Amino acid sequence: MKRFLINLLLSVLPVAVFALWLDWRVVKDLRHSNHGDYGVWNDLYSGRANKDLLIYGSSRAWVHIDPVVLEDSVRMSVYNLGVDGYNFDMSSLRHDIIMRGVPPKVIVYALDGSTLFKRKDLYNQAQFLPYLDDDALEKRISGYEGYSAWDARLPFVKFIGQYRVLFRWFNGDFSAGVPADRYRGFKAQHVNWTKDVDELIKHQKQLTQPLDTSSIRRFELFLQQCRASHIRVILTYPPEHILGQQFVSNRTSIIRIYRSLASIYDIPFLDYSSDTLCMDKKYFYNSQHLNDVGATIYSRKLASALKGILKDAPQK
Amino acid sequence: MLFNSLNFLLFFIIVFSLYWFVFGRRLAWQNLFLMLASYVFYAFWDWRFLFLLIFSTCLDFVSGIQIYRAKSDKLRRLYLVLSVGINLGFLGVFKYYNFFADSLARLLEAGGIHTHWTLLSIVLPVGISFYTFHGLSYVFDIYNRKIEPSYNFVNYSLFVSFFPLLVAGPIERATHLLPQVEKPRQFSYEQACDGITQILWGLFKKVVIADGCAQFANQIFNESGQFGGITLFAGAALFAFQIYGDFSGYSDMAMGVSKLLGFELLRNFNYPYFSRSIPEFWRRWHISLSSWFRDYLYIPLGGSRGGRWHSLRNLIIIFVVSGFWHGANWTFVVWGLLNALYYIPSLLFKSNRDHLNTVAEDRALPNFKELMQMMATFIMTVFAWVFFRAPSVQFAFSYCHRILLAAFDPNAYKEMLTYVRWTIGIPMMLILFCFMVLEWVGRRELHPLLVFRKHIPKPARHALYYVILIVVFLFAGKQQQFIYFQF
Repeated sequence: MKRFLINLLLSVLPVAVFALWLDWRVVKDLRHSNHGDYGVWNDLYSGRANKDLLIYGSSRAWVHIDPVVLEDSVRMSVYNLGVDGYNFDMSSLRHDIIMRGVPPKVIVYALDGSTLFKRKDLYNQAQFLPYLDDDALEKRISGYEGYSAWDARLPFVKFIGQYRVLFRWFNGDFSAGVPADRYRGFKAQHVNWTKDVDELIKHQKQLTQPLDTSSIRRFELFLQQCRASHIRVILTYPPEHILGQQFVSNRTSIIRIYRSLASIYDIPFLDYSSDTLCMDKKYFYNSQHLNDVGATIYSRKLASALKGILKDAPQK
Repeated sequence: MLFNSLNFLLFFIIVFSLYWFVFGRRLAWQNLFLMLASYVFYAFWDWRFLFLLIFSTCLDFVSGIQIYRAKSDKLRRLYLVLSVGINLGFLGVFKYYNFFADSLARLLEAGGIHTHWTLLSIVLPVGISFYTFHGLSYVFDIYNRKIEPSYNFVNYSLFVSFFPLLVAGPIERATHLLPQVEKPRQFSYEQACDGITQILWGLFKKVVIADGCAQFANQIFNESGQFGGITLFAGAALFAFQIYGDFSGYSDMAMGVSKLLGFELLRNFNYPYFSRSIPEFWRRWHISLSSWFRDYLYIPLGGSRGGRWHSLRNLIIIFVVSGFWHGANWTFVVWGLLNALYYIPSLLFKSNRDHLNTVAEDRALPNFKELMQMMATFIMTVFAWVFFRAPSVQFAFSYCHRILLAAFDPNAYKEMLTYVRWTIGIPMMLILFCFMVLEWVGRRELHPLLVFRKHIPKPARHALYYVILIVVFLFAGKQQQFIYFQF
């Protein structure tokens, strides 16, 4: 037994030491990376994302609203904190982190059909790897399927199965010198609508988007807290292609809820859900997302409307 | 608590330490501790079904003693029927009630009679088919006077609920495992090292091969309408690797864990995809279940005695029952029937006892004939796996039909190659290839890593272990449930 345990220990020890080193090294590099989601999380945690005007939402914020276009128009520093694949739950986490530093003056919340819905799985789990030691983040993601408490508590365990991250790290993709692929969180998609999208839409079934009552409650709480902190919130519903509008059966009632929230809390709602952009495939790369051309046009329209709102109505 | 989880690692470290260092001196304490640990392991799945497991254990324990003590054959038979009836009754209610209720309702509806059967929302207790079969083999063996009953409840209970084999086998026999439970166990360095390497190999098969293939097999089966026939075949072949890696990987881990506790379990797989015929495949696939059906169903039915038609009838019965054992769905029944159909020619031409040895036993590579035989057997099993994986019989027939239609379409092959190149990717294909090479090299051993333990110097061997460990770490993604847990 003694021989077995000693040999086992001697075999496991090099692996454990190497794993410890790898964990330390990869986390360190990810925390200094400008790449993709890591760049945004790093800006968020380092305070670089604390700008005057922040854009919240899902991928429909991330790929739609260009901070440069807004900055030119509203004369404020802007950062896009849209988080791909997630709903209000994740945006509110980002908001909590922002509030650790200088609060923004304005928040533009880009809404969509699933903003007040909570996804179950921990999508794109790799983005959280460098900051699992942050209690707020860990607590929030612990509610998603795919989260393991071991990830935050044992070194290297979080990298088990993350071979893509490790390969890319090994390839130097996350080195500090690699230029950022996003500008202040925003990334325009230079992609066109293809026949595959038509094919996909043909097979897509209509669904009813279930609303999460706790998300609605927390969204209201968020609006109240922003008001108390003198942060102006402006809601916007970016365009979605007409072909994609029919798939959410309760789309109209969802938009009605947004309108009613805007009315209750007396906040502007810039609704582009029926904008002329929605009719033309050349501005989209799929039914929910504008491509770079569409995003620029939408950002200009939004900037112009924001300019009017921010100039006309002083902060309450 | 999956074997490939950190929870299990922690659980096992605690069990291993207490088992050898605290309770190691007294067999009775050791067995009691292992029994309780097994119950804790089972309770992690669903503690409510622990009572069912304990009830089933008590039933067979008492039945065994009563059968043995019964003074007349009539009474012996009565106790046996009672035990078998209650065991199968539980299995029937939990596993098959909805299936029979639904099938009968459809049948009656086809005849114009409308019924309102109530389908129950029953959760299938994990491992029920496995521990029921453990218990049944015990009472059958006592009834057939092969063994004497155990009068020690803890020992018997440990035989039924021993955690490495509790939820997905191998299906142990009282004649094999019970003596090991009753005998003091000594820690063996060689056995423990073998156990560790077998766990490593099992992990590789589950985490890298099975889970790696699962994502593509699932995609192809779930979105079958979007793929050409040859890609559908690739999907079925990937499922063949998935189910092999999944189940044999679990068996390897169960055997490895048992070895660390001083037990030797029955072998469950013997490189089935290197079989040269369907009978050989069934001697190498899920051996503990095949031999269970052979000993407790095929032979009591008369086996191959009593003429050709009698043998054919018995063969069809065991394959259909085996299919049905896997799940309450007609797809499994058709899967069993299809395998019976594959088997029948060998029985008719009396070639079912051919290929008892290992392929290319004294050579490094197979000859052309062996290669063709292995490929043909593999392709036949792949078509059968379509029924095993499909949600319905109609789906499976349409899936196979589309494969056959595309057999002479060059574009379908091109599409499959594109899928392999861009979706599955070269690294995964390379890993699959290396896996098959390692399996081929190790086909004469219990598991391939034994070849390296025997013939390769220590540094090179350890390097290989580290490479496998790293690959397991890299590929261990979202843990997928073991397929056989549902049976």
